[in-house]
Amino acid sequence: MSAVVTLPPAFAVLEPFAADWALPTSDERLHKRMNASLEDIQAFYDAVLPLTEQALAHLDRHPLDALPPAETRLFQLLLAAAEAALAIEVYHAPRLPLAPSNSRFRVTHTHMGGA
Amino acid sequence: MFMRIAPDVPDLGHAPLPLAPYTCDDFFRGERDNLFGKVWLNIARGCELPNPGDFVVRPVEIRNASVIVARGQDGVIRAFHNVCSHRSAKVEWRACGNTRLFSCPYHAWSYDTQGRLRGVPGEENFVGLDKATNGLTPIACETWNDLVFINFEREPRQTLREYLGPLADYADNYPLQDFDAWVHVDVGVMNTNWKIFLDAFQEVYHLNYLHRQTLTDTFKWRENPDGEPAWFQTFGPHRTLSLGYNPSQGGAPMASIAQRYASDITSTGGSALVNARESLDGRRTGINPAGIDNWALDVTTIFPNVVWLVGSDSAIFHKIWPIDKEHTRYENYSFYRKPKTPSERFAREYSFGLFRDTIVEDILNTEFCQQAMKAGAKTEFHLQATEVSVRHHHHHIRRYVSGEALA
Ligand code: FES
Ligand SMILES: [Fe+2]
Repeated sequence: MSAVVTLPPAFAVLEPFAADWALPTSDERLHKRMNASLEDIQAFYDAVLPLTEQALAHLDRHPLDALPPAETRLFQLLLAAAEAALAIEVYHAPRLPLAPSNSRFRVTHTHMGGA
Repeated sequence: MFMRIAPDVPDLGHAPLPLAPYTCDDFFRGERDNLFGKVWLNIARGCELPNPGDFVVRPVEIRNASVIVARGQDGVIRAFHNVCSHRSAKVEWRACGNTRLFSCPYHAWSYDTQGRLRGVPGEENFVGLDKATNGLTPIACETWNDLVFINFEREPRQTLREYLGPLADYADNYPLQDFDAWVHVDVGVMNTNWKIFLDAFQEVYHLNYLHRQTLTDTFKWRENPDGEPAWFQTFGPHRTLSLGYNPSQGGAPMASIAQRYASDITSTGGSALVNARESLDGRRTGINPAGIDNWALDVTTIFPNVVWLVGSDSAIFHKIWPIDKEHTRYENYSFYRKPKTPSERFAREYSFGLFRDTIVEDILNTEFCQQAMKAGAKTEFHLQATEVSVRHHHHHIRRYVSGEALA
């Protein structure tokens, strides 16, 4: 049995969001954002934003390709926050009116490191 | 007009252009035979094939071809038709990998990574089979600045260097080889003519309108309120539009954090961008040909089917492959330096997300254009002065289709 992974203790306040948003692939994070309500995205964004710089500084103490499990969870949460920020700061909507379903395209990362 | 045009750009006039090239079977056959059958086509990057035995298999539908691009044990990158010399089966079915031999699934003839026929099961039952002349059929293959090109003419009339011409001279020192990490967006088959889709990536007029929710205020500023390109320049059939950024774009909180660690075409004013740009300026590096102070990026078309968004900190390639007159395969690659830290990787995620959401806005719109053209309501289309890149593109396509460029 594997132990349940939680966020690093300093970021425990974000734990309620992690189950939904700490997703391993960019496709899953985009799908989550496009299908969430703007209120839910706003709540997630509001919680993460004040801790973002602190969280990046914390993560930067580890090599990108060797993040421990708790840090991986935090990193995935931040990458999801980048998606959430687009909806809140730029589009003011979970998805753009002209955007096709995210099943129309596939995104893959090579040598980009991390999640 | 805010946009300036390089003095040596030929005058292409202002007349409306015919719509037939988007919808006509004869024109498409001309593109297949006289254009895609004759010019150099970017098929891969060297960094995708770092080691001997590395290969990718890529379709080129307009030529009915499956192409193997492989780095041989001798370190040389070559391209081959993915067709077995025995009875024409498709030899390599994987999309990429590393191998010493390509082995045909049908009767297991095998070829090495330099294309030579190595193994024939039951060889003694073949009468007069010459293994030396029955390797994989080579396709002309040359590399410029880590971009691998192929040419379907058995003996291309121009070298790749001659074909790229002044574009290669201009961008020889662009540090593409440093950008060896990438994000790939595979859109697959789209219901549109390849030119409709490509047109959408080489004009800036639509950014304020179609992309008003994604690129708001990014490429316009006080002296350039309509967000025109700053500069247009041609290199034979290839071309560049330079875009400036808005120096006073208000940074939203998360955007500002991201721009501290890395930049992209959509995070034009961040400190990371300015630093990266300063390292490139003034070395014939294929950026900012007009020396614009608030330079953001260049939209450089490598004729006929690649649009390269030339940044100082990223290089994005839209690759637009015709299938038939109303179907197109589209993919793009965003190349970066390998992120060194989680914060840099985070910054890439933010800017890539904005880029991704912007380009997919073009998908449905261009499919609707194709559908609309088929109704036959219109016979021509109009281009304003800053859409000159589209006019230049159609001009050179016509020169190939008519045979004029091949004479
Ligand atoms: S067709 Fe390839 S081995 Fe027979
Ligand atoms: Fe667009």
